[in-house]
Amino acid sequence: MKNHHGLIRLLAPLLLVSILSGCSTSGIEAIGKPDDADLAKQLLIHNDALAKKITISEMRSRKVGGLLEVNLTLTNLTSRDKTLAYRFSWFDADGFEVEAETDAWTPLNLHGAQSVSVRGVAPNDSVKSYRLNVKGQ
Amino acid sequence: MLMKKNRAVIGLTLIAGSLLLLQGCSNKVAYQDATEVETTTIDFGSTDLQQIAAKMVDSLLTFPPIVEVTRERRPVMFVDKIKNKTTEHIDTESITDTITTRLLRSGKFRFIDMTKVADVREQLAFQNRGGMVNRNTAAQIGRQIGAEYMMYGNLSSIVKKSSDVKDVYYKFTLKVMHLESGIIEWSDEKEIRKTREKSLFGR
Repeated sequence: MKNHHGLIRLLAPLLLVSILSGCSTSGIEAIGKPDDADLAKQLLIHNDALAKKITISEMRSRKVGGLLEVNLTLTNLTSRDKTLAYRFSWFDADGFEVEAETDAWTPLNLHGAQSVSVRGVAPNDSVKSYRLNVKGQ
Repeated sequence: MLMKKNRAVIGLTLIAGSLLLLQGCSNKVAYQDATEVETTTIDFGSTDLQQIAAKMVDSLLTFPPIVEVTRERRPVMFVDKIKNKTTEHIDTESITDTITTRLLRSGKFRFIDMTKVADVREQLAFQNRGGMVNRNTAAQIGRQIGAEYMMYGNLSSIVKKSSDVKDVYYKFTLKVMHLESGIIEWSDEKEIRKTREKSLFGR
């Protein structure tokens, strides 16, 4: 039995590492449907650890030349520097993704307690809602 | 009974260990997300290209005078070369290709392709003077639309190195000129800074 314990002790850190690395790919999601009063602003948290350190606030949107322009504030709640990445996705009135895979993950450095505005412009004027994904790097 | 169990456990551990070692030796090819942040080396990479294109397109499409111009019509633009003033070999045409594609797909601008002029001339000559194409269906010479705007720019860099840190700063400048008046209608810059530090167990 002693040997089993030894083996478990040996493997436990490996398991923990794999669980932790699994977490780093998920993040926080902000979904905005400016035309829909009930679903105008939603925040989905897939990673509690990240949500304790980073918050998304002030989801603003407007139309510029027919294109949806959005502005969100990302705040670092800790006193340490954080390296993040964010990506916008855009959807039309029927919920279909517009110009999928066009927007890329953008790296972002946030200093301790710093707030930064991230801005996105819809790829064309059919866009009615958007999604912002934020994840740790 | 206990001994047997222990032997089995040791055997399994050895097998698992040797499998791990073997895995380390083999080559593994995997598909990755093309939009993922890429930090393989400090050189100009896909994430830099994507960041530059996104900033330029967003900026141009929301600049108030450009919004005004594109409200009722889709102006025609041509893309001049982006000068690469960095010490790296960078395919700047790839950056302008991405920017052009996005602007075109936004439905706000149209483009003419100066790299295809010779091919188009050859095809038009064949249709009009070759004697093989029905005159009624031949595309007429001299009916192309002239570009109203020209897009051009620069990519420059500042590289600094110490014994264990390398710092690269890129600056991409893009301008749109009204061809007839020579006035620059829009311009914007994108700055990118990257550092590479040698780690304690550096390669």
